[in-house]
Amino acid sequence: MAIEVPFRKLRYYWPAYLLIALPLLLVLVFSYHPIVNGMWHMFYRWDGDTVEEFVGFQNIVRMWRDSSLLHSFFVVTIFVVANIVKMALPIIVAVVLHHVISDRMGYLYRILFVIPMIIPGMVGILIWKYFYEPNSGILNNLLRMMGFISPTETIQWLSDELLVIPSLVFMGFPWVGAFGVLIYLAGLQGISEDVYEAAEIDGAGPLTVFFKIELPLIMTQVRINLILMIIGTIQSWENIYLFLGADGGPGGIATVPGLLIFREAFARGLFGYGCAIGFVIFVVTLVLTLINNRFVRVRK
Amino acid sequence: MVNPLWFLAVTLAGVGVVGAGESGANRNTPREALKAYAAMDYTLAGKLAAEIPDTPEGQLISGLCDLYDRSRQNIRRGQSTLAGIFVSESMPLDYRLEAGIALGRTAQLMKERRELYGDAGDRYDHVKIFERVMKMAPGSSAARNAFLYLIRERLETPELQEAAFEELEIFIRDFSGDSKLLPPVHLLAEYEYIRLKNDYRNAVRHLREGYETGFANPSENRSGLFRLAFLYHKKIGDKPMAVKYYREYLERYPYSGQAAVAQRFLEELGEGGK
Amino acid sequence: MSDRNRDEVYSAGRFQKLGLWLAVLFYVLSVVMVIRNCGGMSVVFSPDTRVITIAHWQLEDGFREGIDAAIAEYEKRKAGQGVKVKVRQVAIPVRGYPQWFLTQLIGGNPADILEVTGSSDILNQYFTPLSPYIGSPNPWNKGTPLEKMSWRESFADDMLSALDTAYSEFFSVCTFMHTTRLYVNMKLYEEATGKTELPDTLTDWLDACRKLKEYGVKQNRPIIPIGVRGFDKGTIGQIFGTYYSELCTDLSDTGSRYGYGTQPGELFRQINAGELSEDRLLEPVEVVTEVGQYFADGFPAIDLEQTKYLFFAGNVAFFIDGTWNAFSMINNAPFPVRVIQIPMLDREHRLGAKAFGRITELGSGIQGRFGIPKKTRDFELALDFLQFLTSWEINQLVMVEHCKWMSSLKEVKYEGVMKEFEPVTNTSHTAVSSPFTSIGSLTNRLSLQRLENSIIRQPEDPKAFFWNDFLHDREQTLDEIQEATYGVQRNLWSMDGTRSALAVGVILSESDSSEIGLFLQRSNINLEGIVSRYRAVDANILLMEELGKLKEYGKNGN
Repeated sequence: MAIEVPFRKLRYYWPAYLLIALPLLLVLVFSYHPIVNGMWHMFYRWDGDTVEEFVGFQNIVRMWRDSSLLHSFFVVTIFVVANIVKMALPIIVAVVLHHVISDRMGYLYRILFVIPMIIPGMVGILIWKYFYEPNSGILNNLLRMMGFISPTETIQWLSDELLVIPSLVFMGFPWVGAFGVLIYLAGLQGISEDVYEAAEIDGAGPLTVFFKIELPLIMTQVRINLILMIIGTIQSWENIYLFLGADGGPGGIATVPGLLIFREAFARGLFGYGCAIGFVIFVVTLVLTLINNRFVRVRK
Repeated sequence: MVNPLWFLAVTLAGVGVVGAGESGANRNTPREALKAYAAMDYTLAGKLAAEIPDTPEGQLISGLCDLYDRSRQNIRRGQSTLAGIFVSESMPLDYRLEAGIALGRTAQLMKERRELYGDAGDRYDHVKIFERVMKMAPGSSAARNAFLYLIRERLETPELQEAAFEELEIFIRDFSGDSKLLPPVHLLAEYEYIRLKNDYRNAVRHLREGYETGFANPSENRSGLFRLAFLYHKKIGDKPMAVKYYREYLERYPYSGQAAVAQRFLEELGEGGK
Repeated sequence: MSDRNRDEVYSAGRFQKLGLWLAVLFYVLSVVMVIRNCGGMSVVFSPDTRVITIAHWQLEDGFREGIDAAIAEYEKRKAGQGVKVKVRQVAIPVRGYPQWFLTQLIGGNPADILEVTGSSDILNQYFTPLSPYIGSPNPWNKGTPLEKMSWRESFADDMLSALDTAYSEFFSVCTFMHTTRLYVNMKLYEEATGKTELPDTLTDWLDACRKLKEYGVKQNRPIIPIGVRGFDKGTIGQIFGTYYSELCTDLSDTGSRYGYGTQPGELFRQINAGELSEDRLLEPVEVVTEVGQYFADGFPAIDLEQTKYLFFAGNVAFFIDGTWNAFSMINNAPFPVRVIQIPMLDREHRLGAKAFGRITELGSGIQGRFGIPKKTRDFELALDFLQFLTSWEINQLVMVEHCKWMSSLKEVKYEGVMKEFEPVTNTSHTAVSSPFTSIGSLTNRLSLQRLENSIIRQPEDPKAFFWNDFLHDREQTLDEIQEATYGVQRNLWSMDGTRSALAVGVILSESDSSEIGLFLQRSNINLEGIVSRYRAVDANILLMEELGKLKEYGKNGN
């Protein structure tokens, strides 16, 4: 709990404030300054370097007319919904791990979940890229072996407009992110044994225990993960860039707002417009986080 | 044991000596400010000029840096400084001319972009400034520049167009300076005669004069020569002149992509041999 | 102290010692690296050795070895002149090069010769203008066919590719040249077609592709007739550009009011006036759509590495790429590889009656620009080495012998497989750019995307499909043209800054010095450039007007 210090006594703590001043300055310079700078530049025709012309609301008007921006938010909504569904699996895995009786086996499983975290994300993406490769990729070869498609037939996972987004959603299967599992597991381990014993006395079955005890008591972790996931998904574009290039796949079908910013700013040099889109992403993320805080209830 | 502070003191002293040596060597003379500006090192030029604010060089370079150094642009202040130099009769003529051209040109460009600068460009009458520059030093490169900026604007105005073409011819005819300054004006004349009047004869006349005096840009010289042959060939139908210039092109630029085209056109004109 | 504690202390002591030894080891390694980076022991023990560094992003096979060979020869020849010289080479991957390049320049201690990238402003701010040096002969060309030419004239394009038009200045010189070619897996080609003769025409090429597809079905394996790196659409753009030029080169005679060449605005004006059918501009779309059916399935998501992998795995018959990969393509393939030009449109093809044949590649594709930063430690030596590198003999040693790349110089003869890379010269037709790909980067990107869609969907009428989609994106195109116009207007302001610097240069120079002549020449270049900017602004205005008037496919000119 924070201790309230009267203002006149603050001078007694000056070494503490001095020590915190430098990190605070760094946060201001490297975190807040770019944000404010971006908000400032959304009103400019800016090339990221020396060209800086005040254009008022021109970038906002351009956004209004840009059909690809609306499309990009539609695409990112699909990814957010998909990721919400994907959140269920780490919870289930965490609960199963929590109930492993042998300590040694529980430890082993936890290690097994942590090891994949060491593999750089880039490597994972490249592996999945070869997985989807239509001519000699693993997935099509598997389908050929199983007789679903003929040896010369191909399914164009990343080039067919209808398959691109489902393929991106499928990426990472079985979606058991180690980070999520460990966070839920930590939450589950914080539940007192007394609660389980009381439930057992009351005759609660495994499902009742899960829905009435475990899930409500790890809602704090779920909420944090939900917020982080929403922020991450809305801001993320690197995977799509690495998979499909700056165009976002055939006809730009998988363009998300982040990729659009990258394209407008770095390919066309419209950094001011990129800042304006960035501001919209910021507002959307903020609103979703507020909604999340307001409606995802945590039982203390 | 040697105190580490001693090392620090010696190092700092060393830096001080080196620094003093450097500042001693780089005396902030007006000439150095001009030199830095001519090398387009705006940062150094601005710094040196700021140290000699009372000299004509300091004022000129400060004013120019305010206009053209994008990282520290202050157009209003720069224009005001240059206006002061331009009207001051005690300033050297070359400085006044440069101040006038820079002031007039930036005011003109600002008027062309009202959506960005609003009415800020109206603070100075660029037409009057350019006309005065032309009177102050007829036959100079400053006068040539002022004329080119002005005539383009007049050609753009439908009611002034005819008079502007006449003015263009008179300027070139009566130009008292080095004829090597005229190719850019010929280039503009060639372009505008085609754009506004479809008058290929006058356009080619100017292009030929410009080419024969010599365009400064090697790329322009090359494309100008090909254009000359092409316009004689396709637009005027003057076969001997077209053949002459196609051959000249082949001789001068045998390795260019258009050499093959020149050869084809020569064949088309029944002059296949080189 | 208990035994356990003693053990712990002992063990901690051992770790401390280990840490100390590691620190010493890394210190020694650092010293060795510093000495090595300074030019080796010879430099350390011989302070009169002059050291310069050359940095670039060319990591392709042969380039670094070629530069090393040039360095060795240079050091030997300078030693012969009694000058101790050490040249270091630094190669940085292309992805990080722009950032590294900027850091070097801003840091104030850059390499002495840098491969240049970035905007005109950057070049102007950090690089030495080379105008004063390009008019005299390259001293290293003595006794070669280029001996009597100025340094500028010794380049195949008279150095035009190195001219920075914004500042009317040469901040760099070009070192090599590239063309686009087809690499053929001869084993697969012969097996599938039963021929050894390679296709020279589009009809033959398409026929071979058909046979390759059938062969794949017979063999029960996915054979890819044409491998392309679809990921960045570069190859699609190259094929489109090739066939557009072969079909539309004649538009250069009438496509501009001002001379030879085409202007998008003028072409659209002619379409609106009924003087030109939009079909003329769209026929190449049909050709690309036809060729594209033989691309790898899912080609839009396949990048260069994947395509190379498929090629080396023996699944790709024709691989379209630039000559920069020639060395690795030919040497690393486990089968014989031959190189041919992209087959040309012929009279047997239904669109071939209107085609003009091959297009000249003279003077195009010249690149590899190297410049000398203003903050070089030894300008004289850097310039000397740059001239050495672009001398007739040495440039061939580096580019032709080591890299299997073409030289940027004149009078270079190629032999063997290199002959196939030589620019096409036996034609009288020049390349012409399509309005769809030359208006701006966004319009180009959208047009390539349209071509990609046309290949994937194989619509009944690719011309109508492409044209109507082009009009669908008209607003974005107009927006791009408007932005470009603002860019030109901004550029006029920068050019006035250059004019003013040159005018100050004239004020500063002695009236009879050679310097004043140079400043005056550059002032003229600047003003000529301003006229070309006026042309660009007018062309954009015309383009916006005419683009706004275009109608759906088949309804124009009424």
